[in-house]
Amino acid sequence: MDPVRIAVVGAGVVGLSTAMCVSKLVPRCSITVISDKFSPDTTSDVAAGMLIPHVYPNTPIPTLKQWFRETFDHLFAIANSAEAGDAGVHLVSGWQIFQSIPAEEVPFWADVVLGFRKMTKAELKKFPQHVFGHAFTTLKCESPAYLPWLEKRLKGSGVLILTRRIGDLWELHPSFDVVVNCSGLGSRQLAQALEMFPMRGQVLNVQAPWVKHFIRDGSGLTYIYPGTSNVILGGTRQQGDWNLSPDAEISRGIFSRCCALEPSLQGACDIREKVGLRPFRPAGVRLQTEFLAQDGRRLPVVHHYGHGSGGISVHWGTALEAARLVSECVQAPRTPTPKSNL
Amino acid sequence: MAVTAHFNPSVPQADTMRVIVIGAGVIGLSTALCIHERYRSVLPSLDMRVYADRFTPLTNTDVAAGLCQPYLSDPRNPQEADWNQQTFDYLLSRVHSPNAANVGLALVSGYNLFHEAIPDPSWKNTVLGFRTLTPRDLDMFPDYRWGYCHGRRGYGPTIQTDPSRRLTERGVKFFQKKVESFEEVARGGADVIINCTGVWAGSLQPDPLLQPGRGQIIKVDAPWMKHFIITHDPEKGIYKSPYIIPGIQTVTLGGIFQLGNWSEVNNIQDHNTIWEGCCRLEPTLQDAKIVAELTGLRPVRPQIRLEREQLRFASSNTEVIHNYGHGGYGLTIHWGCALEAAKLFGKILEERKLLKMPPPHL
Repeated sequence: MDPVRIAVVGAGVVGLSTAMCVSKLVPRCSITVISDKFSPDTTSDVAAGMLIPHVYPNTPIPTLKQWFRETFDHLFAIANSAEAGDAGVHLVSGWQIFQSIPAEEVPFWADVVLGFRKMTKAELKKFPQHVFGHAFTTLKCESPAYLPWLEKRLKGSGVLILTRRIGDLWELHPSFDVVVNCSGLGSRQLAQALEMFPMRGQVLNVQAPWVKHFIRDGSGLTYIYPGTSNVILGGTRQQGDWNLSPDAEISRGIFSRCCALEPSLQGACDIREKVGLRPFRPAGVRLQTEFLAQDGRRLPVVHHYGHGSGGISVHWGTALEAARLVSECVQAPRTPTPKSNL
Repeated sequence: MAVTAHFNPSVPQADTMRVIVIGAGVIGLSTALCIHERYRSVLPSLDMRVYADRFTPLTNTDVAAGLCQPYLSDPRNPQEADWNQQTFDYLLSRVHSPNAANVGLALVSGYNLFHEAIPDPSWKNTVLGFRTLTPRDLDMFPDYRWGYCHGRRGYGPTIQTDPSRRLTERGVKFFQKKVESFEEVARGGADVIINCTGVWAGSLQPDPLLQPGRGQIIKVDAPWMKHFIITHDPEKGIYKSPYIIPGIQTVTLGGIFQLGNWSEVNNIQDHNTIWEGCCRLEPTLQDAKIVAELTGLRPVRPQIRLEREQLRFASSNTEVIHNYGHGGYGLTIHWGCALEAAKLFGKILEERKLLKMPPPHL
């Protein structure tokens, strides 16, 4: 049998990790990653990449926890290896703080991260506006390094990388046997997923290398995430806003909110503004196989999109699931294309 | 920031208290600042000068990794525990200020690792978020079976720039000169000499209790390292086990302590010991770029010499306040010692009835 030809559409963290999982799980296949954008121009590249998951609608907690745990374990192994620097993955400790005591004092992911505990009164003194907090150690996965690192490994495994804008999934027929749709917001067009919308996020990348801990307000709106080459200050959550240009007033607001939590940031310099559009899907992540049919043609598509603000936190777990769906697809007997009636 | 100048004996002025601080490492600068801040306003006139043959970045302080952490065992002199605490509180109050970056202060968390279970240190309640490591944490460090994790204050390379700047703003003058004797300084007109000469104090006055504890460190570019990792091997002794301490711009790798070794030259075997030990502890360092390699001499002494002494030259008494012998914990204890030295200075002023108003409460 000829190798199965698989196209992965999208080269953000979801697309590349899915290609990786498929290459490991599905024997005798040839994989091509097709995208109009690659790092550093994907949505993933704007994200800080902190592994702190959130709840998705319609998704049972045990499933979320499994996705998060698989992602954490995968990245933790990289963080402790000699690849950590190249892959842009490292451990970071810090605090998530709340202005009022949250309904759930211990989140579902508490035993996945390292050293999770409630903050002591002495620690909370640093944040006079906050009354409760979590202290823990988690991972930061920086896409500007992680995506090129994944790409390099994919190429090493024989995966082809193609720069091309796809307007319709049928363009991939008959060159490919299976399509994996990891196009994020692009699914509005490619999968007619009109219920999806962007959740606009603006951030500041600054130089403040003395900041070694993350600080995140429990609301998720204000955060300080120290990374390898900068500190990311955020943020915003603007529903339905497609504007990719930074807004100066929003930047001032972000800076001011972050300085309130960490006054030493006033000494930060080389401030750069960035905007990303989180791919929001009201029903949660779509992990589903769809058999497209049109004019006698058939095209199996595994959909893998809709990660909203949690893409990096769960990417490996959902990629493993997507690879399983692809594997099932490939193993199903292939029906021959009916001859044309013309 | 050194000003090279010829030594000019000060023009005697009535009621001017002349103070000479010898040494411009962290001890000299912080003691000078502490005394000047507290007593300038209560004296008719204070002429303070700093004499040193080496200024930053060539002092022993500059070689220090900068992490403020007391030794695990309690100090021989119980006062030192208080001085550690005072320094800790002082740094805590400054680390969150908008100026923290200029001062070079950072809060950093990390791990202390041991081969065997040991009791928690006496300072565990004074640090932030102390916890014993779980088996999962220890999976990261296969050679170790016990440890704890907590937050600490660290200093960056500007540790001396900030007090230098503040002293200069206050009119304190700096002179690059090698002091050969207390007598020379006394005859130059000094009323009080603050001796912060660190490991070289013996050249001014023999001190058999003071010895160099030679250390060598490698500074690397590894900005993904956000935690310190300090290993302990009681059989080998302090600082002889690998440690990794992230600073503001670079990460310091170390693990060398050689008592009695005065060599200030980097040694290739020590380099290998440090590199192999630290890469074994943290494999991600293998790809880190080496930025610098330095040797320093820790001023080791069974306890810090922080006391007054009166020396008589010609017909006048010169007061000396000794403040040296801080071993490998100078940064950890510097402010508490500076406060104590300032107290001693205050006593001198009271005895000489020099105060124009009551001294500020320390």
